[in-house]
Amino acid sequence: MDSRIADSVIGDLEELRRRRSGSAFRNRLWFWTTALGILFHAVGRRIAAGAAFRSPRSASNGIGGDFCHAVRLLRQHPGFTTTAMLIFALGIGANTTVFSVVRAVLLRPLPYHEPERLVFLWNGLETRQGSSHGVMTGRHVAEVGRQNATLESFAAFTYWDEGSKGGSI
Amino acid sequence: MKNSNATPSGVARGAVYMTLDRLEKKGLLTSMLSEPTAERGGRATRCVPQWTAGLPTR
Repeated sequence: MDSRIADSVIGDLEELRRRRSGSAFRNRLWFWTTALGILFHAVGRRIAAGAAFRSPRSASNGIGGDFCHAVRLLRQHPGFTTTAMLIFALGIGANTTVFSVVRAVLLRPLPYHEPERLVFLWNGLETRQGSSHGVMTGRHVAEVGRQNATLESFAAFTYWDEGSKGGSI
Repeated sequence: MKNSNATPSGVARGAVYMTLDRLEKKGLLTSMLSEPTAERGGRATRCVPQWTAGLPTR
């Protein structure tokens, strides 16, 4: 079906759509479902025509022939088909799981507003042994607040390692 | 296509188009395109002449 004829088919549908009674939405829905039906019919016809007069040996000449040959072989070997489908299912499931974890852990942004603007400050002068991040005391924090010209807001936090000292909090 | 409202029930519209297309490719009928009309969204009508008798069967 060349483009001029395809255009006339759309014209037919357009003319019929305008003649139809009922709501505009329903008529538009009818237009698209009918157009898709015709399209599927044309594609199916083309695939069938491509495969109709071909033996399996020469089926690799066209995509329609390839498709029909593949379907025929899969139907002839149900064991292989089942195994292949199971492997596909396992592969897709594993990939989905891995990418779900990667997204949650690595790709999803931090749950803060504009997380790319978040910064971490530490005391670079008074580092403890074995640590490059020095402790900031309350006075340091207060000084940062007093001299701050770049940060929109800030907060201080502390942490401790409960287990290493064996004590209770 | 003229008489496109007259698609018999139970026959897919796509099947009619495909059949006409195949018949034309085989040279068993000829169709022509009319002038585009506004009712059809600026598209032409494909006119297929009606014939009273088909080809004789062998």
